[in-house]
Amino acid sequence: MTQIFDRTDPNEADEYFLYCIRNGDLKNAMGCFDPEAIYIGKDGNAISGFANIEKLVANLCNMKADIKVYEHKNAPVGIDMMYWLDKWTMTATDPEGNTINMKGVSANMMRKNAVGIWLWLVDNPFAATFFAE
Amino acid sequence: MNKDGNVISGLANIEKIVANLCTMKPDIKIYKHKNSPVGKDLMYRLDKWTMTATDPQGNLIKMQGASAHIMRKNTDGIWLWLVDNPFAALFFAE
Repeated sequence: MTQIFDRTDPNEADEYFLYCIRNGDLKNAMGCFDPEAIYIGKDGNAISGFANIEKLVANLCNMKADIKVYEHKNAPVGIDMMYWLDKWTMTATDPEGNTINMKGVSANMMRKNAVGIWLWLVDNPFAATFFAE
Repeated sequence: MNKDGNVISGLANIEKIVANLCTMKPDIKIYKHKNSPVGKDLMYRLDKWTMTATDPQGNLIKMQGASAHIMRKNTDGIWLWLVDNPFAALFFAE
């Protein structure tokens, strides 16, 4: 069953992104990123450019990863940006059949596009790794 | 964003907090940071910091923390704080 999300609400924009991943929908998952988006990898380095980010998101979509956000905090910045902190868990099965259980915390940024939809501008799901080092 | 995770906006409100810091003339040191550009005029910045200061009663204050910030370049090319969250690590530790 297809779910309807109001992506002009940042919470539902996030839920939609996770829904796309869970359903292996790479095209629409990538539609959740701002054209200037960066993704911060586990090593703390930034990955920019749709094609590069798509490779990472494709891995998640291929596994149909079940990512759940169990706590989050939004803070508006001006009229078109949102500072976003969250805590998440992920369960998935890798191509070799191994179960993956992960958890982490994110320090993200969203930006509203011209039609009012919230998109990821900074996606940093491993922020805690930097802080723990 | 303050220690309890609440957002403070408006320059006048932010000024009250910065005034407290300036009054103590604290020594804030960044011992690790990572900047990631976002487009032409935004910067995502993570850092770890220590602070030593003396409060108005003469008590020594020693703090440390980790920040997740956003900076924006103004029309003269100067980087300014857009999001200042020096207590990001507290959210993560809860």
